[in-house]
Amino acid sequence: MRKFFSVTIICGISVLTLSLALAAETYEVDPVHSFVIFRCLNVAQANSVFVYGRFTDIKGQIVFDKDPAKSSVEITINVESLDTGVPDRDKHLKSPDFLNAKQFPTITFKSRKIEAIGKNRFQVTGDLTLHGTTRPITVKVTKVGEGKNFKGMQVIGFETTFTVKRSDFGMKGLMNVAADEVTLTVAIMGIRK
Amino acid sequence: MVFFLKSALILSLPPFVATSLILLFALIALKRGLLTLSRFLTALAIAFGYAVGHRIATGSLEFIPKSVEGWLPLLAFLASLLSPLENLPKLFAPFRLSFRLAFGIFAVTILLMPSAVLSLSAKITWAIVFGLAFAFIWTGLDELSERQPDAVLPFSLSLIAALNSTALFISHSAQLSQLSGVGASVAGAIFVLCFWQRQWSMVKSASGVFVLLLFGINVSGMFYADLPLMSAIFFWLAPLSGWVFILPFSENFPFRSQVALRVATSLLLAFVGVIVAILKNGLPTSGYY
Repeated sequence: MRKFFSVTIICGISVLTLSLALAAETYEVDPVHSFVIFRCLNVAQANSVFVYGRFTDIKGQIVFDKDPAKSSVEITINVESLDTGVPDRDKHLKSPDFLNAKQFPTITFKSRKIEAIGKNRFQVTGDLTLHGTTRPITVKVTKVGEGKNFKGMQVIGFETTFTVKRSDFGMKGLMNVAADEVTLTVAIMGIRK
Repeated sequence: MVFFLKSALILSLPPFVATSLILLFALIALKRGLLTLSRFLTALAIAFGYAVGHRIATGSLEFIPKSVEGWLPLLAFLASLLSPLENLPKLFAPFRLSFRLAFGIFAVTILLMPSAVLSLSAKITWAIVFGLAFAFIWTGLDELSERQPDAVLPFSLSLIAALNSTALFISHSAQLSQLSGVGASVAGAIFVLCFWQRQWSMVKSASGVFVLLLFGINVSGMFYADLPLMSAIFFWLAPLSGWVFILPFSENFPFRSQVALRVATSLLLAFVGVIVAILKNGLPTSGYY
């Protein structure tokens, strides 16, 4: 009888441990090690160069499960944190001509569906809200890596590059200055809570 | 330089033509003694001409716009519907003033509500303050146009809008700058028609629409771009500078000198508006586009 109870308890503990190990893990986006970089063709400069810039204030949460269908990601970007290295250009991009930061202060992405498409490759479908307009987008995301960092914290990183048309999000002016297509590279690192 | 000239032509010619076409209909109505219709068509000419330019500059013309400056064409059209009120007898002056105040508060509220940085109390306060200023400027311009039914006033308005465009460009919004340029273009169309048809006070019929555009573009520039408040105030007061002619010393001037004085005064105020914008924002860094 004692043996039966011992075996039962050991099995129970094993199942509990295993289920905890398989449960989804929640990571908070680390803004210091996350990057959102954009580039857009400079039409005013005869399409001879791209303008590059980044957003430095990024917040969010990643729920990562071995089953991608149970995973999710939510990112919020502060538009005021835009930085192209030229203050006048930054102010212009944040003005009503483009992002209109004082009316639309954030850019958000919320996933609706995640599926695996290869080793460490995922297809993420979600809603991108930009300039007050929400549109569904699907992007291919690569898991860069995961593990314990030098401080002993569990971290995970992902990266994706995709292109959107700013006119799809209501930014239809000044097409003779900046191109319609904007390419974004999003590299985020999450720290497990 | 060619780039800017080409952009200016693409932006200014269609609104100029659109405004002129409807103004011709307004002129026909006036010749037939249909004063109310003539006034409405004049106001509609500005609203329509502006809408044409707005569509070219922003690429969109939505009934329920997402971006704040997208409300300007609709507000301009609503202002044009108020133009028949100008035919009310003097007896109804308080009623007319109340309507202008209410519309001013309504228009500013529409423009400030989308702001994500202003508190609700700040929005209400600004709406009331600017609504009062809006009614004051509209009344002042309306009375001035009755006293000066000539081409000088629309000429001044066109120059003021052009300088306003410069200040908005310096305040980091090329689009609002373009919209002000559209305003200069439609005022220019009124100037041409007034020059051709002497003693036709077109500005009286359309003063509400013009003030709405002047207020609306500058409120957008102040709260969503980097236009200083003082700069906006100078641009709002500049159209009223024609009241300088009521000063005793100016009555003795020859007509040409009076015209020069009126234009110079409005230009001076508008220039100060530009200088204030430069002092706050600095001149644009060359070639950052």
